[in-house]
Amino acid sequence: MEVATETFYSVIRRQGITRRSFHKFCSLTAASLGLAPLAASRIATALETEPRMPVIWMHGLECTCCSESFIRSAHPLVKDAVLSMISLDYDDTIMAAAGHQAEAILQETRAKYRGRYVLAVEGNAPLNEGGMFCIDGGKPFVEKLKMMAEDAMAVIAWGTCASWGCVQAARPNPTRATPIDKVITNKPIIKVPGCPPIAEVMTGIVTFIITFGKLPELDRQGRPKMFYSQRIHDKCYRRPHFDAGQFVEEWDDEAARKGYCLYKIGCKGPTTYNACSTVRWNGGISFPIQSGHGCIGCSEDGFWDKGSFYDRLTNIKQFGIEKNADQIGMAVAGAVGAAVGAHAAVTAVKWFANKREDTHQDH
Amino acid sequence: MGIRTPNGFKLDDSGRRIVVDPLTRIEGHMRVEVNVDSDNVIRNAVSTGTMWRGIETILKGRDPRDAWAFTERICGVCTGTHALTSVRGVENALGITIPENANSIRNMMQLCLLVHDHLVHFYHLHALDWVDVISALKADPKATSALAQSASSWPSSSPGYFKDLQIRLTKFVASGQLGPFKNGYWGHAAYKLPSEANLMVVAHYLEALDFQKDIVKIHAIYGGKNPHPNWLVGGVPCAINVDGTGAVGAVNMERLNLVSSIINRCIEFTEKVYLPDIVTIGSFYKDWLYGGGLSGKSVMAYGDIPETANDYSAGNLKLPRGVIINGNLNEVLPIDHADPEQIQEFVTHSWYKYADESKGLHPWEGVTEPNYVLGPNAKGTKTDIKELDEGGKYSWIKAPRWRGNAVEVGPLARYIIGYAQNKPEFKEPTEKLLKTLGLPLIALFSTLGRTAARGLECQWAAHQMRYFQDKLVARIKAGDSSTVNIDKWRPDSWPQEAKGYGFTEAPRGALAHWIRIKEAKIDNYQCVVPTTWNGSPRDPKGNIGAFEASLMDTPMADLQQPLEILRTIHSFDPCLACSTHVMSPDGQEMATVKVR
Amino acid sequence: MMSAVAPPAETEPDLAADATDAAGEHAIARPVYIYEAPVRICHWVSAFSIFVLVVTGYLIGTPLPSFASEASDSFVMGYIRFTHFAAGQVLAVSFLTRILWAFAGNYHSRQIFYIPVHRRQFWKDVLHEIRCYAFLEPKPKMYLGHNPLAQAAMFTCFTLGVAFMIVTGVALYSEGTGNDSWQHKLFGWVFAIWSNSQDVRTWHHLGMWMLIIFFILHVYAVIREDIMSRQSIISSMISGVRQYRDSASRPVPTCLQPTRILVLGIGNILWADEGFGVRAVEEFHRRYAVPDNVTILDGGTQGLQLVNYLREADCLIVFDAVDYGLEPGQLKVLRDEDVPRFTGVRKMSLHHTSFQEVISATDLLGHCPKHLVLVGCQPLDLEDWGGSLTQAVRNQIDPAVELASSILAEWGVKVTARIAPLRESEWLLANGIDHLHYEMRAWT
Repeated sequence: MEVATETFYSVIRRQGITRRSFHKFCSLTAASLGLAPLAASRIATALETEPRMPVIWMHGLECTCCSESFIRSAHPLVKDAVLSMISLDYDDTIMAAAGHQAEAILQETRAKYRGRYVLAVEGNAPLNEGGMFCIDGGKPFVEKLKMMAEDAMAVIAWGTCASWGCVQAARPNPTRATPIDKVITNKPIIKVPGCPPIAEVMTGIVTFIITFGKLPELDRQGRPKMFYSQRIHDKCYRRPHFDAGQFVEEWDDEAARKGYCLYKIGCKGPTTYNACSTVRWNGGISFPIQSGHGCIGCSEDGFWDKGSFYDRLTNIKQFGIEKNADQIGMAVAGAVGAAVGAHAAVTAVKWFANKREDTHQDH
Repeated sequence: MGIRTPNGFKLDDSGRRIVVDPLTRIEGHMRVEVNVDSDNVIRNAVSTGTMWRGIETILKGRDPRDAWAFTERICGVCTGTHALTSVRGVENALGITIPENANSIRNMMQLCLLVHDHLVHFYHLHALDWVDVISALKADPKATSALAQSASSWPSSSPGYFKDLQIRLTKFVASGQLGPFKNGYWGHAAYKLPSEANLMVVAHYLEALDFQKDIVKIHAIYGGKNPHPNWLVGGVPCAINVDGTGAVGAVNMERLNLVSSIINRCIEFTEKVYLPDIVTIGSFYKDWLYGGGLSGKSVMAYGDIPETANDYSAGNLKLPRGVIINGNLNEVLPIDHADPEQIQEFVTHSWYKYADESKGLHPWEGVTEPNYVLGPNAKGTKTDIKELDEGGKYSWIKAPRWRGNAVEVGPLARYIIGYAQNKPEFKEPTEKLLKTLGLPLIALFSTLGRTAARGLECQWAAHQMRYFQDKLVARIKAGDSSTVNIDKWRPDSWPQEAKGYGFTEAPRGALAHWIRIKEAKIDNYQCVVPTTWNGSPRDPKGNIGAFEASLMDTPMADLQQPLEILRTIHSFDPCLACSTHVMSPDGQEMATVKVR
Repeated sequence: MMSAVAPPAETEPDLAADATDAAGEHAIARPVYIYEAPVRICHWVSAFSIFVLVVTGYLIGTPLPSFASEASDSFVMGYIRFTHFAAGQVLAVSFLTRILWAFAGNYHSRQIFYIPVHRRQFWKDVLHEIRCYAFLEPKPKMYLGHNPLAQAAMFTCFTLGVAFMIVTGVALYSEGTGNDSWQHKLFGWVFAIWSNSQDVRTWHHLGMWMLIIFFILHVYAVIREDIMSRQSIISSMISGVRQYRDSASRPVPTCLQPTRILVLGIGNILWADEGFGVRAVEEFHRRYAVPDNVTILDGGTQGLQLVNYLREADCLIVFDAVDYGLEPGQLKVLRDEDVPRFTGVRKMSLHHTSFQEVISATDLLGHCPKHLVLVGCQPLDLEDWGGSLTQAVRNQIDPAVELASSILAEWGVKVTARIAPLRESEWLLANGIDHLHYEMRAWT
C-alpha cells in the first residue's frame, strides 16, 4: 500500500464538487472562524496541499460530552474532519480497535510522528489512590497521559474537565481530579473550556491549527482568544433588556415569555467567557439564555462551587460559613451598628455621670 | 474446575485468560477478562468498571435545585437523562407538581435522547463489530445499490453514490492514515456480511454521523444546548409564547415548527435507514445468537414517559415497568423503589467497604467508601494490573440486585417486559421483525436480539416524540402555555427534612436517584444506574452480572482479536461514567484516600 | 561675678481670647492648621464618590424590580452602571491626587499612607487608644492629626481598601473593554489571582461592605471625638484648622514624629562659661550626623534673629548656660512649660535680647515649637573676657550632648555617630573660632 496522502481537495474533486463550491466551503469556514476574507484562500491552499495532522484523543475521568459535542459540528462536518482533515488515529470512543491493538497505535504514533502529533485530552487524571480511580490498560490513566504528552507537538485540553477540573473536581474533589496543565508542564496547552465546548468552536480550533500551521493566540488563562475573549454578556442578544433594567423575576412570568434578561435568576453571562451568544449551539439554533435558562458559567474555573446557579450573588465558603457577600456584609454591618449604638449609649451615660460629679464637686 | 452460579451459569476459569483493556467504543473506562477453554469458547467472564469520580460527596450540602446540573454531567452521551431523574427525585421529595406542558416537553427531551443515543450507538459504537470496513472497498456499487433499494426507499442509494463513497474510502485507506479504522479486526472470521452490505452500512454510518447532530436540535430548542441541556425543578425553563407580545423571545411558532420537522426526519431516518440495516445485519448474522446472558432469565425496567404529568404509576407510563425473574415470561412482578428489600447494592467484589459486606444496602441507607484492594490471586501490582482476581474485589461498579437477583436492563429488557405484558406497541414490531428474519422468540435473548430491540425502540421513540409534540400544541391551542409551577420554588416553603426518588428509562436501561434533603440542602444523594446493573460484578452469593453472563459460552474465532467480546459487550451500550457509584454517605464523612 | 538674676516670669499670652467657636465657647490659643486644602478636597470628593459607588454598586448586584418599558427610554441598569463607573473614575483620580499630594504636603497629609509598625511606641499608643474606647482609660492622649488607632484604621480600611476597590473595579471594567484595552493591560493580572471573575465580583462586593462598616465607625468616631475631646474634629476637615474649646482639654501634644527639630546652642564664646551652649552644640555636630529634619544651629548671640529659626521648628533643644542657683557645672534639663523664661545671665547691652523674648516673639507669631527642651549648665565663671570654658563646665559638654541625643531618640530621631571626622569646611564654627583652635590651643 503506497503511503500517498490524500488531500481534501482531491477527494472532493473526485466527488464531483466543483472548485467553486470548494472555495465557497473555505469562505464559510473562514467566516465561521471570524477570519478576514483573504483567509479563505489560505484555507483552500491548506486543504489542497497538506497531509492530515495526526491527532491522539485520550479520555481521562470525563462524561464524554466533549466527544459528543465534537461530532455535532455542522461546519466542518465531523465526517469530513475525520476523513479529510485530521488523522484521528486514537480515540477510545469511536475507534475500531480495542485492548492491545489500541495500545499499539499509541506507541506507533509516538515513533512515527514524534513531535508532530496533537494530543487532545478530554477529561482529567485523578491523582488519589495511585491514580487508579481511572484505570487504562491496567495502569493509572495519568501515566498514559504523561507518556503520550512527551512526544506531542501540543496538547489540546478539551472542555472544563481538562482545563479546570469540572464536576469531579468540585468541592471536595475526592479523587483529586487534576486539570491537564497541572500534570503536563512542558508542552504548549490550549485550553478549550466549556461543559462541553461548542462543536464549531472545537472544530474551528483544530482547523485553525491545520490551516495556519500554528497554535492559536491564547489569553492569559490559556484559552484561544478567537472564541474566548469576550463574555456571553458582551454579545448577548438580551443585553438591551439588561441595560434597561427589564428582568425575569420568576420562572414563566410575563418577562420570561417576552425573553427578558435572566440576570436576576442567576445568569452568569457577565462573568463567563465563551462564544455561546454568537456562535450559539447545535448549528446556531439556540443557546441556554435563548431557551430561557440563565448561563451557569460552565466554561469558567470552579463554576460548580460558586453557590447556586439561581443566585446572583454567589456564596463565600470560608471559615465554615456559606453565605453571599450581602448576607455577610449586612450581618457584620448590623453588628457594628449595634455595637456603635451601645458604645454611644455608654459614652453618653459616662459623660453625664461625669458632669453630675463635677457639679457635685463644685458644691 | 467449575462453579455453578445461583443464576445458572457454569464458570470454569481453568483455561487461557484473555484481557481486553481498554474496551473502546463505549462511554468511560472498562476492562474485560475472560477464560476460554481449548475450543476457544468463553467459560468465565470478569467485567470491571475502571473509573470512579465520587460525585456523591460532591453533591452533599448543595442546593437540591442545582442537583440536576451536577448529575447531568455523570454522562454526556445519555445527556439529560440523569437531569430528568434528578428533578423528578427532588420534586418527589418536596411534593412539587409540574404543568402538563412541562411533562410533554420533558418526555420529548427524553425521547429525543433515546432516538439520538440508539442511532449513534448502533452506527458509531456498535456497527464496526458487525461491519468490515475494509471489505467495503471490494463491493460492487451496483449490487450495493440493489441491496439498498430492496431494503428501503431511502433516496441516497444510487450506484454512483456508493461508487463515490467507495472511491473516497479507498483513497482514505491508501493514504496510510487510517484514523479510527486503524488496527481494526478487518478480515476477522466473525464478520459475516458480504462486501455490498458492508459498503451500504458504512455509507449509512457516515450519513448517520451527519444526521445525528440535527436530532439534538430539539434539546437545543427546549433546553438551550446539546450536550447538557438545561432543566428545572418544577417544570422546564423554556417559556412558551406562541402569539403574544414578545413571542420571538420564547418558544414560538418557528421553534415548534423546527421541532416538528426534526421529528419527521427522525422517523424517516429510523424507518428507512436504521431499521432496514438491522434487518440486513440480522439476516446475515441470524446464526450468531450468542450473548443472551441474563436476558432470558431476569430483566427489569422501571418504566418511563408518563402520559400525564405527575403520575408515575405503572398504568400511566408508556414504557413498560416490571421485573421478570427465572425466565418466567408469564409473570411480570411490580417494583417499589422505596422498599428496602427490593433494590439493594452489594460490595463484596467491588472496591468499596461496608461494615457488613454480606448484606446489601438500599440506596436510602447507602454508603460509599472506596476501598481499592486486589484479590489474592491477582497478577501484577495495584498500579499495573496484569490480571484481576474475581474471587476478591475487582470493580469500581457496585453490584445492585433486585431481591437478590442479578438483572439485565435496557431496550431488550423493556421489550421483553412489554412483550410479556402483551402491549401491542412492543409485541407487534417484535414479532414482525422475528418473522422477517425467520427467527423464533428465543432468538431475542441474544446480542442480536439486544441490538434489534434498540432499533425497534428508536422507532417507537421517534413516533412518541410526534405524539407529545402534538399534545403540547393541542394544549397551547386550548389556552395553556404554562411551563413551570413556582409554588415551592423557594426553600422556605420546604419541610425541614424530606426524602424521595426519581426514575427514568435511560437509553441503556433503568435509572433511579434517591435523595434526602435536610434544612434545604442535600443530605444524601444516590444513583443506581443502568450500567451499574448490567456491568455489575459478582455478589456475595456468586451471581454474575449481565455483562459477564452475556459473554458466557461464546466462541472466539481469534483470541488475539476479541471481536466477539466487543460485539456482545457493545450490545449493552455500556456507559461507565454512569455506572461509577454515586451514593453519598449517610451522615458519614468519607474516608480520605491518600496518594501513596 | 555677676549674680544670677532671674527676670520675672511672664505669663503665657492668651492669644485667642477673642476667638470663639460655634458653640460660643472660647477657643484656646494656638489653633493649628493641619489639613491642607488638597487633603480636604480629596476627603470630600472621596466620601461623595464612595457613597455613590456603594449605592449604585449594591443596585448592580441586586437590581431594582423589573418593569416594562422601551429599552432605550428607561436604560435604568445602564444609567446605574454608568454612574458607578463615573464615580469610580472620580474616586480613582482623587485617590491618585491624594497620593501625589502626600509627597508635597505636610506631615498630616502623609499620615494615612503608612503604619509605623516598627515603632513600639506606636503600638503602645494604639493599645492605649483601644483601652480608652473600652472605657478602661480615663483620659485619652491628645493628638494633633490622627490618633494612632485612627491612623491604622485609615491606612487599612481607606487607603488599602480604596486601592483594592479601584484595582478590582478596573479589572472588572476591563472585562467589557476587552483584552487589548489599557484597563486590561494594567489590571488584568487580577484574573491571575482569581481566574473566575465571579470571584472578583464577590470580593469587590465584600469590599463594599468593608467600606460601609468603615463609614459607620469613622463617622461615629469623628462625632464622638468632636464632642468628647473638645476639639473641632469635624470642622477641621472643612477649614483645615484644629481648634480647642477649653483649657482643660488643651492638648499636650505628643509628637510622634517631629517634622522639624532645631538643636540650638546659644551664648557668647568670648565669655568663658557663657559659651557653654555654643560649644555643646558644636560638639554635638562634630560627634553626630542627624537626619534631614534636624537642624543644628549655632545661635550665638543672634537674639531676635533666632525667631526665624524657631518658627520653623516643631521641637527645640537649646543648650545654654543657665543660672539655676545650683552648683557650678551641674546640668539640668527643663521641658516645655518648665522652660524658664530667663536665660543669658547678663544683658550686655540694649542689643542683647534675652532668649525669653525670642520665645515670646515666636509665640506671638503663632509658631512656637510644640516642644521645648532646655539643656542648661550652671556656669562657674562668666567674667573671664575672652576666656574659655571652665573645667567644670567643659566636663558637661559630653553629658549634655548625650542628653540631647537621648531626647532626640525619644522623639524618634536616630542620630548616627560619625566615623569619619568632619572636614574643616563642615565644622559648625569655622575660621579658627572652633573650640579646638580657639580655646584648646593653650593646652596643645
